[in-house]
Amino acid sequence: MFDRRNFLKAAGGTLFLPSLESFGQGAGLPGGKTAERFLCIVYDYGFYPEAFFPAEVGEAYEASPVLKPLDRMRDQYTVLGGFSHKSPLGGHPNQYKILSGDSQDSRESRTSVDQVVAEQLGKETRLRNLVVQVNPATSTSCSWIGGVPAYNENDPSALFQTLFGKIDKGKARGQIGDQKTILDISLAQARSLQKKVSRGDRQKLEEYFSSVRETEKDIEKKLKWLEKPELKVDYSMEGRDDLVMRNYDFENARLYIKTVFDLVYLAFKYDMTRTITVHIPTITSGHHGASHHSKRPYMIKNLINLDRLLTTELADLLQKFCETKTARGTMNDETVTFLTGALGDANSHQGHNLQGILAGGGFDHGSYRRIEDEDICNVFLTIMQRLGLEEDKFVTGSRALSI
Amino acid sequence: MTGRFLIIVSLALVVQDARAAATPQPAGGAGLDEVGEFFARYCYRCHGEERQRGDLRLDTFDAAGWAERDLLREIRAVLLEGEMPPDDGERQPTDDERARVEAQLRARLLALEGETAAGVYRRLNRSEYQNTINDTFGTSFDLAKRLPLDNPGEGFSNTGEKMFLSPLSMKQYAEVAFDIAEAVIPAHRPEVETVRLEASAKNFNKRWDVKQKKGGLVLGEPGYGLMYSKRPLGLPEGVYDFEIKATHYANRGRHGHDLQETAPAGDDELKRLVIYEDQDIFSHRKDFVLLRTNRPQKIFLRPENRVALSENTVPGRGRVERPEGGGERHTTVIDAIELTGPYGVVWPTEGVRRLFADFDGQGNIGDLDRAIATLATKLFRRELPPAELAAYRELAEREIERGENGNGAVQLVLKAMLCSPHFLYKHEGSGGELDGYSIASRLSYFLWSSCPDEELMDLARAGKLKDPSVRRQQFHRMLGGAKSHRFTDTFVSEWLELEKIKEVEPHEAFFRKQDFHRVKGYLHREPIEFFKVMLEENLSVTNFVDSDFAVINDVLNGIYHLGGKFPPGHGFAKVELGKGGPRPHPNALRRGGLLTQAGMLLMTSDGTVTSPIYRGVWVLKKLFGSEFVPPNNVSTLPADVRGATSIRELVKKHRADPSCARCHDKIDPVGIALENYDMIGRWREQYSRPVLVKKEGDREHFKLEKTLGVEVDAVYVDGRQIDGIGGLKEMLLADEDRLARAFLEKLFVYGMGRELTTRDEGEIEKIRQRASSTGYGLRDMIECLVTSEGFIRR
Repeated sequence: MFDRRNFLKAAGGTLFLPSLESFGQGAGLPGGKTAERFLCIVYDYGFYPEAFFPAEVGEAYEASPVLKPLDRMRDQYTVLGGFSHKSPLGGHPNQYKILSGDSQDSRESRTSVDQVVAEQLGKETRLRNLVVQVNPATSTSCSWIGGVPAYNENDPSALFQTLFGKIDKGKARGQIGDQKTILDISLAQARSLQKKVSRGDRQKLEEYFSSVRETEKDIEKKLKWLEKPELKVDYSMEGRDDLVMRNYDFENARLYIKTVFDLVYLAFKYDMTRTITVHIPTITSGHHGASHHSKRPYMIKNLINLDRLLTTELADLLQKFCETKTARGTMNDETVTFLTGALGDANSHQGHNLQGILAGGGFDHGSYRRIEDEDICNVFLTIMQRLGLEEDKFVTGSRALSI
Repeated sequence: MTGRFLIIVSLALVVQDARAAATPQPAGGAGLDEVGEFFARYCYRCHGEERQRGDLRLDTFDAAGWAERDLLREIRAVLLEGEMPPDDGERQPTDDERARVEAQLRARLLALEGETAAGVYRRLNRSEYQNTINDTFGTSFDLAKRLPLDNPGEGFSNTGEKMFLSPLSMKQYAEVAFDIAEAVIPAHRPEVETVRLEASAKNFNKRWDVKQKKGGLVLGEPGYGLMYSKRPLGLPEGVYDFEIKATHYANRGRHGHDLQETAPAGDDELKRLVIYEDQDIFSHRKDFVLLRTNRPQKIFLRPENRVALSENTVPGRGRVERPEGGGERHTTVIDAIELTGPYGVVWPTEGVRRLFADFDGQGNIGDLDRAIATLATKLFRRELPPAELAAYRELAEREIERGENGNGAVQLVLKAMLCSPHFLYKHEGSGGELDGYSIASRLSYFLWSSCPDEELMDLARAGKLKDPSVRRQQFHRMLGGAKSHRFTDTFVSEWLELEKIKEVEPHEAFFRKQDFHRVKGYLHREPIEFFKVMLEENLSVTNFVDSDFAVINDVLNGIYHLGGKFPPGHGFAKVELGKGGPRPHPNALRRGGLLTQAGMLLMTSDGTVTSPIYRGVWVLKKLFGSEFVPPNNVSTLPADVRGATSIRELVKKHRADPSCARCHDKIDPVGIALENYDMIGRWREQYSRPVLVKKEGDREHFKLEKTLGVEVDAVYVDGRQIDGIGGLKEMLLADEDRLARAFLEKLFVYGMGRELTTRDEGEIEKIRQRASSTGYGLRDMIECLVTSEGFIRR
């Protein structure tokens, strides 16, 4: 069968992991003040601002309609408002630049915050990082490595396969060997081509080089992981194999997002990776239409329902993070979760007054804070430092916030 | 003497050094001075120290800005379009000043572009990859979703500048390469085996009516339900017996939802499970193999095939005959499909015999060198010197030493070739004229979205493709062939952004859900079928704006009411409108061209309200070659919920602000002219709005309430009065050359697989002039492009 023979998927799907408890001590992290996992959620159109922002700031805020489903976890997160993406273009381009700030630099130098973090946190785990895109797959990525979109997966069942699928080890070893040889040949060819092409072409060929090199690194990693003992994951994808975005199918969308969040949790729990980006361009296919509501009540109602779907599922995920004990506390303490809208108000394509939810990571939570006109890159820098990155600058951000 | 000579030489060196050091600092010169002066005179008041409209500041414009291609291009465009400086009563540049600055900008852009070869090295996009594989191996793989993403934004999916390869893409390529190679060149003769596919959501995709019940699948209403295996089965090529395992249930309870098992399904029952062959999915899913139960239950499968099953159209049981209000009914639940085979395996397989000529006693590939050369020429679309293939030879030999047979060795070589940059990328040299092989590929990827065939490769080898008359003859051959639908489908769909049609659904108060369900699959077909007729009959590009015919089917006719005879199975036909006749029907006068097709009118609305803005932008961008950037941080106009103010009144606000008016003075009048068409393209003279009448649980019932009358008269930016659809068409048709140029630009970008440069303007203008002498026939236009000098350059 195709699936059985499918080496990469299969080799990627082996599970031989120590469970989370035995990690914790890693990397010499001081008592709970530094986090080691990053979940970054980008919600392209953002929440409908009038139903998201609470009326008053501080700890005593009354939960807004969109925040209500999350409210039982109130102590575990901070509601952020007012920050912005400093992009002269604004509008929809924010969606793909939201995580990479906006310098006047060319696209070639764009690397998003999740990838910067992954470079650091992804050294020991089987997967450097995951980028999960909730449909549609045709949307532009928001995660970039050196100007190249990092696209991973938008089919939950394939994602599950990547994370936890079974493999035939003997066969996998043979195929991994073949792979290495094949990639070596291709690299040599690319090298000889490079001498013959123009400057612009060389840049494109460079993409090919880095792709092949990354794949080789991945193969090395896989060989190493093949030696580890197997572990069983108790999760059934039954009934979740058919998750594609359907027009206006609310329940399907809920199951889709729930499944993605379940897999996020499992990937963290079994330490498959420590950086995950979940990109949500739209929740159902009517979402874009609804976002341009022009203040029509029935469209706003739809929009709020979609927003609440997301906060409801996020609440469940945060709860699981909180309930998972680790050597140093809970998984939530060790994980920075940051959800941001890419547009402050999709109706007007506005890129400032963005909405954010920052959870876990040992920050001081429980309130609604306005960080007026603050550059989102400063928020990212704050997160990066909390994750133990010794950086004092991220694109246009150079000042960590006290949260 | 010697001394003087030395001094001269060293002086020259100094001069050269200074020049080298100066290259990163772009030279300013007279051009920059003149443009700078122009800015100071006409632009600083909005783009200066005090104000930076549109975040653009020009008083600090210097040599660095003079090297920014995108910025210069944008400035030139607004000058050319006359959008800037705005007509706000302040001093305006003379025509001569405008032209001089525009010429300076153009010269500067050409100089900047001169430093790099146009376009970039680009990889195959998803459909090119898939077609190349399938055309080479005679297979029908459906790979698209497993390959790296194409350019995901607006524009064509084959534009090199917008395509990337991420580190993860290589893994996807490697994964797919392994599957293809193992399917195409099997290493060992397969044994007969039985494979059981449980009928679960894990193994099968469901369409429309299929429900999951009792651990299996129920097909639902005859002719609608369809289930098909989710992945290629990956079974070795050969004949298989199949058996459908199903259970027959009696339905009890008031609504018959309570299924009680009675017996395994009998033969008669299974015989009804036959594919409904009209389903449109089969026209583009060649990898589906239908399980027909009314014939001997044998099928021929290849590794890439999937099986599909649906219920017969012959009325049988199912929802159709169920009695009202309870009583015993029946349901057949499909539990699994069992496949046993392959029988009758020929070795080497047909697929392998197609490719290679030389086999050993066991039927395995014998002459490795020849096999490698054959594969390399096909997959790399050119002939590489043997030295460049040596690595593959070594790879194969090592495999033989490890005890593999010739098939296994070549299979591994194929895996390697499919990961090679020679396969994944298109090679067009480093600049200047293309070589024969690159021309062959350019032709074939343009017109077939696939690799060149034998004939093109022969002509490439013989160096004949540089001859325009040979390209002309090939163009007509290729367009006449079966693969040319890939050009019409892809080009039209991406040019007009037809994918967006799928994102909008009319509000049910305006158009019943079940009616939309019937029609929606044909909305994006209509413009493609229309284009095909134009191409076949070599009709002028002005037909995009207005034509005396429509190309529709019976379902679409339900919207347009044009009459006509249509082929069965919802086939499309050309319907003459007879506008020039003695008594043309009003319905006919309202149609013709692309603008008034239901799909366009739907995708430029939100399902409830039509948007003159979206419509205006669409028309001007697609047909008139205009460019607009959506504004940032601007509220959309508030919709008038009560229906008391017309959209025509609302958009007047755009006039008040010159920075809005810059684009909206063009956009709005064009959109307003289309207001007689509702969100699904029906004619209207009065607006209406949905009003909620009652709510039953989740279900809402609406009625339509008439509001204002539609007004369509508006004034275009240049002062011309546009009065509804007729006026709009007249305005667009008045500038036939512009229509032709806009179309050629799109065609050029698609055909060349790269973005336009300033340099291309001249080439496109030459092609346009040639095409103009033949009256802008669609086929002539493409021919002019293919035979142009630009076509065989990068």
